[in-house]
Amino acid sequence: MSSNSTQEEEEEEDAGVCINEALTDDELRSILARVETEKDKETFGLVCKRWLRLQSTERKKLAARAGPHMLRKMADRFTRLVELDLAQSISRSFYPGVTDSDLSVIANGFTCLRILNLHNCKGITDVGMKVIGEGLSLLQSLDVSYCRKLTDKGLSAVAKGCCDLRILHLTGCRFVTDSILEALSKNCRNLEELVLQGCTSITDNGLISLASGCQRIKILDINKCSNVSDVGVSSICKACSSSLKTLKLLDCYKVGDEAILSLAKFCDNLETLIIGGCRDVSDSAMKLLATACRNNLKNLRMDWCLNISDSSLSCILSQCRNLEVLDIGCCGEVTDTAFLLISNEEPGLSLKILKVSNCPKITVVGIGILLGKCSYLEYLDVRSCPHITKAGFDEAGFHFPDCCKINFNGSINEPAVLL
Amino acid sequence: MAEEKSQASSSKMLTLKASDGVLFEVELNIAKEMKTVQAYIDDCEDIETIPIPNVLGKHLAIVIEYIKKTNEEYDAEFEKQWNMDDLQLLLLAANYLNISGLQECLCKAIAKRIENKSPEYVRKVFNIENDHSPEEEAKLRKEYKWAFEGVDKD
Repeated sequence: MSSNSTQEEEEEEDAGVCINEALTDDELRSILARVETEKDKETFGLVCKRWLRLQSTERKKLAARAGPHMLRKMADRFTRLVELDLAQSISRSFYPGVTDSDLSVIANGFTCLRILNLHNCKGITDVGMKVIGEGLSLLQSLDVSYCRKLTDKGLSAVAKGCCDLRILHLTGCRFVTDSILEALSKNCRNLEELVLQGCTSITDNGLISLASGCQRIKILDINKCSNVSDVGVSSICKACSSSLKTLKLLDCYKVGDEAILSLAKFCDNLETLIIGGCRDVSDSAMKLLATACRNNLKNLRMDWCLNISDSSLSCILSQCRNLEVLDIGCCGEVTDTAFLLISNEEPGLSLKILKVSNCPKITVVGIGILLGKCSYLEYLDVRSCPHITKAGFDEAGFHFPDCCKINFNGSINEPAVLL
Repeated sequence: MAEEKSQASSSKMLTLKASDGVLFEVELNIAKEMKTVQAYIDDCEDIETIPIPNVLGKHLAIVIEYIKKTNEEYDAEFEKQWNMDDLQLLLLAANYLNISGLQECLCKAIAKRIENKSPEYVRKVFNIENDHSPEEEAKLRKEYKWAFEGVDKD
């Protein structure tokens, strides 16, 4: 850097100060940090080599479509990258897609990487996972959903190498078995979010293993892991009692009252519960759950829970005043009485989204009662309810708030909650 | 440029000497906003004149004024008065004197002036020579286009 005394002399003679001589890297970085848009950051990099270097090393996150050549260049430029998003989708994909050798470039080049998104990168295999495990020891979040070739072998290598892993998405990785859960339990004690949707080989033993080491889990998604039952779920409830906020058990038909009772006993911080298709769950268990989790429960999906009737539904609606989303589709025993029995105390219900599709015993009357107790309703799904029709509402004179959409026959787009 | 001595005997005054010899008498609590000066005072307690070799009198005056008057309204108007040269020199001064509020204000101001402008404009305003070769520059522009197209903003 030129000394400031020369600069002062120059300043008197020249028209302008030369910023590259006047300011240090630190000052330029401070300015760059306040450049907001992507486009302006690019402009910054185009000005001169020095600014390019500053801009490249400042970049923390990158989302790109890039083959190995481009990745190598990016790795050379953006050495301090923290987040890399290479997720593929219909709108964002390229041939031949991300490969194992790309992962090699990534593992060797982006050593500070914490977040890696490889959603739908179908070409990658265990070989790629091995290099990730070897190279990216700071990795905290990995999404390999739908990377169908992956097996326990590669994923265990990730678990062993990336001990600070907090978030792992393995949706659709159908070859995954209990052995990955054991590896996670041994190596990744900070795990907070685990998605195993569709990993049908997972059993209770795996969950019990997981529970022994990973006791900080906040979100567990075992939707469609049809082999799990009460024993496995209960072990998680007990181990992660203070942390568990979201539990998804869609179509885990072997799960029943015992798991619900464990939730009630241990997990009062629960906010989201999906037990759609858990057809053995009974009223008594749900009532205990409603009471235990009344303060925090926000989202509840229990479609196809065929044993559910008015007594537990009214209990849920009365106790869980913070409940915003409720799905009781195909709960055929539910009638208008459930809504009648909701206690009238203040505050009113917080319900925003209610799905009662295919509940033939609910009529316009029941919905009317509900409307009276809840002023925030935004979406109501009443498909396949023979006694709930637009004409019926009009005849009864029911007035829905303007913002509320009603789905009578499937013509409205559903809000994407509770999946 | 020297200010009147304050009447209250309890409020200590300090003299700051700019690089071109101009003297400024300021109250201790004003001077303390400049962390560099604070460090100086901490080191030698009975110092009365502190040299500020990196800052011209013209800019030191502006800095002192800023410290006295800074608030949301003042800051918003402050940066509009200066041309790019002064902004840069003021930023240098603010960095040397370690005045975080002023640093923030100036960085924001400079960043704002290059908002939505082309690289050519930025070079002109800052007097920077383009040392990217035409091939390099073309490659960079292409890289940006292909790699980040259709992708969400950070």
